[in-house]
Amino acid sequence: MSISRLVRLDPRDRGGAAQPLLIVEGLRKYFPVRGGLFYRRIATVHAVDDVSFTVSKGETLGIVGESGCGKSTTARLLMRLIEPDAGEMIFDGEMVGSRTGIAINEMRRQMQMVFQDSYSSLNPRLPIAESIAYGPRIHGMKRAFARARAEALLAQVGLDPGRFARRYPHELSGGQRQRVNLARALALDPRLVILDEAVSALDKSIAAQILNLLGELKERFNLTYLFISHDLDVVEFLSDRVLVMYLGKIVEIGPAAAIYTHPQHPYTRALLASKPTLDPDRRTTQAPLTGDPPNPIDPPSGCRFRSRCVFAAPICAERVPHLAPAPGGRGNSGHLVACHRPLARIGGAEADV
Amino acid sequence: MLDASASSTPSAPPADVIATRVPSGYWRGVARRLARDPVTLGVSLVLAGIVTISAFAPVVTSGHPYAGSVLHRLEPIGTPGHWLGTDENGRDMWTRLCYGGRLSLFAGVAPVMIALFVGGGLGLLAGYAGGIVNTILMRLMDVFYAFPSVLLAIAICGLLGNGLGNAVLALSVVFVPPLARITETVVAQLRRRDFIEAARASGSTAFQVIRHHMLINALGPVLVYATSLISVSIILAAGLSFLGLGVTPPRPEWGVMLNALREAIYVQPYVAALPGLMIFLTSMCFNLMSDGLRSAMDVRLNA
Repeated sequence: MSISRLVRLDPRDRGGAAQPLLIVEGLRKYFPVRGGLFYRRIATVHAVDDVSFTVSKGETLGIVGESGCGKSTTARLLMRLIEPDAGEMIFDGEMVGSRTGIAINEMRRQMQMVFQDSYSSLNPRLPIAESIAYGPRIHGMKRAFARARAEALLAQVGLDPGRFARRYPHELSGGQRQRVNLARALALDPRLVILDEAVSALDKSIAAQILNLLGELKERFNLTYLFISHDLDVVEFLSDRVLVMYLGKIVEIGPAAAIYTHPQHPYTRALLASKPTLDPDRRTTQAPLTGDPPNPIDPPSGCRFRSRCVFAAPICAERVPHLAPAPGGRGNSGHLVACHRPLARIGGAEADV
Repeated sequence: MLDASASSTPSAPPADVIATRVPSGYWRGVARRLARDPVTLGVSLVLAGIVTISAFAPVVTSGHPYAGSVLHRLEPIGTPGHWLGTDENGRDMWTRLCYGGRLSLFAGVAPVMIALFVGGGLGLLAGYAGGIVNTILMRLMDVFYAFPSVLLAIAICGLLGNGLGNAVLALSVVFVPPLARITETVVAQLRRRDFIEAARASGSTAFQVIRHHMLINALGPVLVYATSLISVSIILAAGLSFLGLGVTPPRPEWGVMLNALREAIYVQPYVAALPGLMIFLTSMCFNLMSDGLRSAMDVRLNA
């Protein structure tokens, strides 16, 4: 990605165009499973395990993976809605939560989140304009100003403030509610917006409208997106770069075009092959992935995908693969894969995709 | 499928932003639905009547509730001058029922109010904090739950001695655990909703989240439950008085009156049943009102 795309810098920018907006290093969250007498810890869920990535200014980073792979946990960890066990975050060059860096509350103003369930993420007892105005108000904005801002934002997301401002969430459709959620996220004037399955619950025509709206808003407010979804088409449509997660770990990350045309990790390939297609020549009759993902309480040794991988070799059980430049890609493309036997090396790269 | 970007024009409103219903406020909607419900409206009128005659007892009655005459004991309903008859000491029943409503309603409402604050507060704390705080508080409530509520009230009242204040206190203790439990359940459910997460993500403190988002949502179900407890409280308070643990004679209270008149059940059964009828009527009204409140507060039941 070229720097020239990023000339529009935010007034709050500190690190310059080349400084990633967000650097995540070694993020980890293990959930204890408690039970028995005195709530002893009887097992551990490896929800997010040693996840590191960067988000550049102005880009859209897509995160894909099966249900339960840790996508949403990652989002909540980034917002600090749950406390990570380990890991560091650097927001625009400043360490999050450290005394010399940026406070968590200040980071939350610059980083906002839209949730999947549009109904659950709005207070059912508040008129939607109040929900939107809530964030600015608790940060000290006067009621009338916050209210005016909420109405302006409603107009920005395509809802007529005159008709919608005083309505309650249950009076709106799913698509309308998700527009409200977008307005609410934008109310604090964030730089990074995490979209956690933001269009997954909407039907396709509404989802397409929301996706177009996302594109418009990104331009208008100079936003950076972290787009989490299990829908590969949507991620391809929106993302500059894509990150593939499996069982709490990143298995592959790189430019969207490279990931979608030359996947290097067998899991990415299987995921792409599972994508439904209308092209009869590309129809698959065999399920690319069989069985459920292994239990994250007791993940397989070495590579976590090896239990479902058709290319698994003895080394996969012995050593944990780390992210390394993909063999097929150009040196500086940023295409990384965590696999002992990436597809380019074993010659299966474009066999089925 | 996703190439809709080409066809979208900013001027035409997308299909999903077309308004479907007239706007309305939540509480205004609750009031409107309550007004449309004939049962709730009816019981509210009856309750209002009972509260009015109790509150204005000196106005609607002529005599003193203690004033009796040995010559006019246990007169039947319809006696001139005593249209509801007289009790075993020749006191006017209408006068005593009106004055008795004051104590009975107080003994019904006050414990629930106290328990609402204490139990509601504990439940809010337990539900929001979760984890070890929740475990300690809720297990503590379970200890109280282990006793049947009547027995617990009698035990506490017996320990503290009789009197209206002690009866109210005993009943408050009885109602704290159920109110704490229902509040805890409601709050713990709300805690998992995304809008609470979203509020935290906007930088709200726990106090702000509770004040702006929890209370307004938890109030409905908790209030409905508390209203239904009022009827239980009236019956229990009357029961305590009946057993001689609450209000003591000659003060008029429906439970005390029922106790005093129980020996007259063969002589003047209709007069003897009057205090019981009042207890039954009042508690049933509160129960029906709580039912009406619940359906009026449920947004999804009504279009």
